Amino acid sequence: MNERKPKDEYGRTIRLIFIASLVFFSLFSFILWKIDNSRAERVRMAALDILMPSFEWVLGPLRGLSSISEGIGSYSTLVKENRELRLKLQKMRDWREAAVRLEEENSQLLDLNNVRVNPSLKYITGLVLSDSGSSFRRSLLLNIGAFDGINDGWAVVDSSGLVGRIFGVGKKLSRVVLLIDSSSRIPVKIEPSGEKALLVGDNSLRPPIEIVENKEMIRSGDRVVTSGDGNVFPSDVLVGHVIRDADQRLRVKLVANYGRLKFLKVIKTHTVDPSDILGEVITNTVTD
Amino acid sequence: MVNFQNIQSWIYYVKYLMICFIILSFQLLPMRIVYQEVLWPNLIYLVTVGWLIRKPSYLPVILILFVHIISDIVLLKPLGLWPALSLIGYEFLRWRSLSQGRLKLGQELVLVNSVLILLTFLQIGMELIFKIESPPMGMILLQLAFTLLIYPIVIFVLHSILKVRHFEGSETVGRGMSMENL
Repeated sequence: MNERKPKDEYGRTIRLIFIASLVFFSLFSFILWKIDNSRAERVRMAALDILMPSFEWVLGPLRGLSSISEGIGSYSTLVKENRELRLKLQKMRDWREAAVRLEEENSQLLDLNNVRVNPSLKYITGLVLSDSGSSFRRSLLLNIGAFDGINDGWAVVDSSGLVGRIFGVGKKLSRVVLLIDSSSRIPVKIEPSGEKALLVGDNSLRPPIEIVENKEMIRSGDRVVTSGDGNVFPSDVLVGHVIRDADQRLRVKLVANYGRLKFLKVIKTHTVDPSDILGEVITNTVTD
Repeated sequence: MVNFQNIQSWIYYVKYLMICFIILSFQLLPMRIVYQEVLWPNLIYLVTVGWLIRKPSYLPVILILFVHIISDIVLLKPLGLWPALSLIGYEFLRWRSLSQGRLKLGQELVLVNSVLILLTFLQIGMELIFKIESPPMGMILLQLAFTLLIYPIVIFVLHSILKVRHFEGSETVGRGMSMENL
C-alpha cells in the first residue's frame, strides 16, 4: 500500500522495483510464449479448461437470450420459408432419385476399378462455447477436448462444409482456427479439373486460393474440396465454390454457414501408416 | 476506522474485477462471426485508465496485471505483451494523477488518448521485432479510433453507475474525503 504515501521516498523506490519486476514478468512470459509456442499454447489450453466454467454463468444466459431473439426473428419469416422449403423439397426428391442411381453406378464402377475410397468418416459433435473475442484472430472454442479423443490438426465441419481445423486441445475443450483466419492454410483441389491449390485465410469471408498452375482450367462455380495432402486432413471434404472477385482473383465462396456456427463436427482422422502412402504412390504411378 | 477503510478499498477491488469480468464475458460471447466486423474497443484499458485517474489509490497494480493476463489467456492473444506495455502506461497515469492532482476533462482525454496511441504503436513495433503476425493496419487503426471515441461513455459509466469519482478537493487529503462521495 505504498502508493498511498507518495511522499515516502523509501516506499516509492520499493514500489518502483515492484512494478518493474511485474513488467519484466510479463515480458518474460511473452518471450517464453514466443520461444516455445506449442508448450505455451498447451499451458493456455489448460488454463482455459479451468477458466471457462467461471465464465459460463454469464455466457449461458446471454447465449439463451440471443437464441430467443433469433427465434423471434425466424418466426416472422416462417410461413414464407415453409412454402419455399416445400417447393425445394419437391425438387430435392427428384434429385435424390438421381443421386441414388448415380451412387449405385459409382460404387459399381469403383469396385470394377479397385479404387480404395476414404475410410468411412467418423466424427464427434461439439457445441461452440465462444469465439476468440478479437476480430483479428478468427478462432473459436468447442466444448469437446482430449477426453473426447480430439487431436490437433483434425478437420472441423458444420452440416454443409469445412469450417476450420483443430489447433490446441485442452482436457474438456479445444480451439478451432477458422478457414478465414489469416494464419490458416489448407491444401485443396478444385474439381472437376483436379488442380491443386492452397486456401489462404485473409480475414475476409471469401478467402482467396493461391498457387494454381493452370488458371485457365478453373471456372467460376467449380467445387473446392480438401485435397488431403499432408495426411492430417481428410480428403474430399467440401469447402466451397470458386468465384472471381473484381480483380479477377480466384476466391472461394464457403459453403459452411459462418453466420451461424453452433454445433460443429470434428472429423476423426486416422494416422496414416507408411504402407498406405506407398500404396498411393504405386497406384499413382500405375495410372500415370 | 482502519477496518472500515480496508473494507472500502476491497469494495473497489471487487467492483473492478466484476466489471472486467463482464467485459470479458461479452467479448467471449459466440456472436455470429460475420457481425464480428464490429470491432471490440479496448474496454479494459479504458476502464483501468478511468479508474486510475479518478481513484489512483484504489487499484493495486497486481490486480491490473491479473486481469490483463486472464484477458490475454481467454482472448487467445500473445501472452504477456500487452500487459507488459500497458502496465508502464498505467503507472505513468497513476503517477500523473497522484502528483499533479485533478485533470480537466479535456486534458484527461488528450492524455489517455495519447498514451493509448503510443502503447498501440509500441505493440505493433514489438510484434514486428518478434515477427508475430499482427492484424492488418487498417483494423488496428479502426479499433484505436473506436476506443478513443468511446472513452467519454466509459467515464460516464464509471462516474454514475460504479461511483468511481474524483476526490473532492486535493488528492493528497486522502481517503477521508472519499467516504462522503460514496
